[in-house]
Amino acid sequence: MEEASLLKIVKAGDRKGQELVYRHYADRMYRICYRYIRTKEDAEDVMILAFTKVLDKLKGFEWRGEGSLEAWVRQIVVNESLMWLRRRHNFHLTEINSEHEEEPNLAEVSELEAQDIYRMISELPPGYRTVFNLSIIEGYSHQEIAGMLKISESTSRTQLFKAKALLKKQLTKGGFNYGT
Amino acid sequence: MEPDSEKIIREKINKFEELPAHWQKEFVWQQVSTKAHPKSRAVYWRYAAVLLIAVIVGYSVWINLQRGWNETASRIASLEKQIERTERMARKKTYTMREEECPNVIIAKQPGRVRNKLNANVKAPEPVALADEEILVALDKDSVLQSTTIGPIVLVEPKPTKTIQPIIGKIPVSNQTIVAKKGKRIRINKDEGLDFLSSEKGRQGIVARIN
Repeated sequence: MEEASLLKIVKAGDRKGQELVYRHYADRMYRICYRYIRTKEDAEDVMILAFTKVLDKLKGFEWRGEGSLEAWVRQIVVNESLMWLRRRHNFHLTEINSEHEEEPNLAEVSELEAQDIYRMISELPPGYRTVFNLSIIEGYSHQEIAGMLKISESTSRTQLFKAKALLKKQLTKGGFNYGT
Repeated sequence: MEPDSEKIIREKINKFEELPAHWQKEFVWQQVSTKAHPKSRAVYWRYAAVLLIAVIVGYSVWINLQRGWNETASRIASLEKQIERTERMARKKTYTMREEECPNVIIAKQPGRVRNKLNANVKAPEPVALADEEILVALDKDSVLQSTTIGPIVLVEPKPTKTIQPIIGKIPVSNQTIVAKKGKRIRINKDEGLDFLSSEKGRQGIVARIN
């Protein structure tokens, strides 16, 4: 179902419209949430909070073309996940990067199956995982990430650097090989 | 500029996340539709931990209070016993003060006539604190039991009495040279020149003390 027709039902004040929105985005949002939270039960709790907020604010949502509703829901889910993480994890704890270290290349990682990449990201430590998710998957800048996690930009950069390095290391350790 | 590998990763993940997932979708919808704000499962563990701590603290406080109460109760009981003993002793003292002081022996009153039979030279027993006509006699335990039925024995202070002895004769002037130390008894026989009154003619002599 397209977003425009979905929103029409919602704006009509029909309760069915809310359920349709939930069922349309739930699976996708759950996977996003799980990528941050990594615990099934906690991800479900965050989903309850996020979708309660979505349905509360849905009537006031201003549609700006196809994909804007999904982006809006996604943003709420990511924010709720970050709020949950901030309550449990100190993002300030990070090592300082050596200036001479070369930026790790994720070319080999990108060759893996999506499911394996997803699993590898989920296995990263919370700090690395969060910054990697926000930077690489969501596409936020380090300045935005710093603002969202209340950390410095350099901390965000360091976390991303370490996350990439760890992914590469995991790849070597895991011995992923699909072809030869 | 963003490397291609990162773009590929993003696309792959986004595609993967469109696939259906296994999770409690219906339960979450129920919670969302009833607007029941979820409480993290960790919260329940925290509540349980707090409850457990509260129970432990409460129990330890209760144990301490119990111990304190027991101590106080035993102290009160011992004090009550002590008070009771003291009261009992005080009550006893009014009746058997003498027995308390010398439990095996009791000093009883004897009639004055007994004294008359004794030789006047016999020195009076030491704890004399009785009247002239009384004498102290020590009795054994069995006698005490009998004597206690008589009633309380009261210590009688001796009354300073000055007995006036009747004149029974006179010492002639020729014999007034009798020398004796003060307080010592002397015996003067009839043949030493004592002139007895006619009523005392039968006397052979007298025993006297120079005061």
